[in-house]
Amino acid sequence: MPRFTFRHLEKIVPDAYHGTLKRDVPSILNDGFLVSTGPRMHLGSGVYFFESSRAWAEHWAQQKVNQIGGGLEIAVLMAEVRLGRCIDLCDRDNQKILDDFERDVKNRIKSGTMAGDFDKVTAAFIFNLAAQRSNADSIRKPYGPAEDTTNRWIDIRWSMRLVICVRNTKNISNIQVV
Amino acid sequence: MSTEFTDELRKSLSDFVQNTSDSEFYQALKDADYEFFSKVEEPKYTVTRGVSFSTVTYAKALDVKSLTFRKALRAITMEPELKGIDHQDLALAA
Repeated sequence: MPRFTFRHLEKIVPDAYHGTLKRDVPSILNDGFLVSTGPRMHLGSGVYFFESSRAWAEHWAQQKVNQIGGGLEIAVLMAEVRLGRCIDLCDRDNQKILDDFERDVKNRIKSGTMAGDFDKVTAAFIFNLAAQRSNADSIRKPYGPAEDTTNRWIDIRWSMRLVICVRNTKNISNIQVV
Repeated sequence: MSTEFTDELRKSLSDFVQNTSDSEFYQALKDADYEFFSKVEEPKYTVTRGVSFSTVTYAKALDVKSLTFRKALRAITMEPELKGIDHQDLALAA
């Protein structure tokens, strides 16, 4: 059976949703997105989107408002995202590469002279490091139970969602409030 | 996805782990942001006597790098006024 490969495939997500505070919408529409960074960014630095799900973006924003308090209003933006050089963890090859990378980094740290300083490596750190080293534009990751989809044991109530962390904001276009 | 980038990703990450000097390797880890070494920050919680805190902020204030939320919560619950907690207290709480 012939195997088709796409060496230069450019994937575009036409409906990526971003939850935010209503007060921040004008600056985003005027000046574009700012890359978020810090320990809460579970896929590393970037602008976070839910692929094809306005409801997840709204849910996320509402949770954020609940944490902040103060009766702030939420907003949801839709944008077109060009994945570009994407570490796509929906792809088994990419998943394996990241698994191996995490293991190898930890092993090198353990065997090194500075082990004490680097023994708390998190998945977020690995994502960020991998994206830096490969000059990735984005990271795309599914969240939800890691079940075998060939198995009949699948529950409709499982909360599956696709998250895109865009590191190169030039790949975000057609931003609109929805 | 693009097989070209997948090939490049595999090679660049493999090269980084296998073919960099120690100084380059550790500098890259530092450049990738120290903060990611910390556990992802938990939302603020309110515990006894209305003490509100951020686990990571609290841990950083105490210069404790590996504190987990559960350990901090236990430590603070033992000493809700946030007085007299030092590394030894935290070790006991853990």
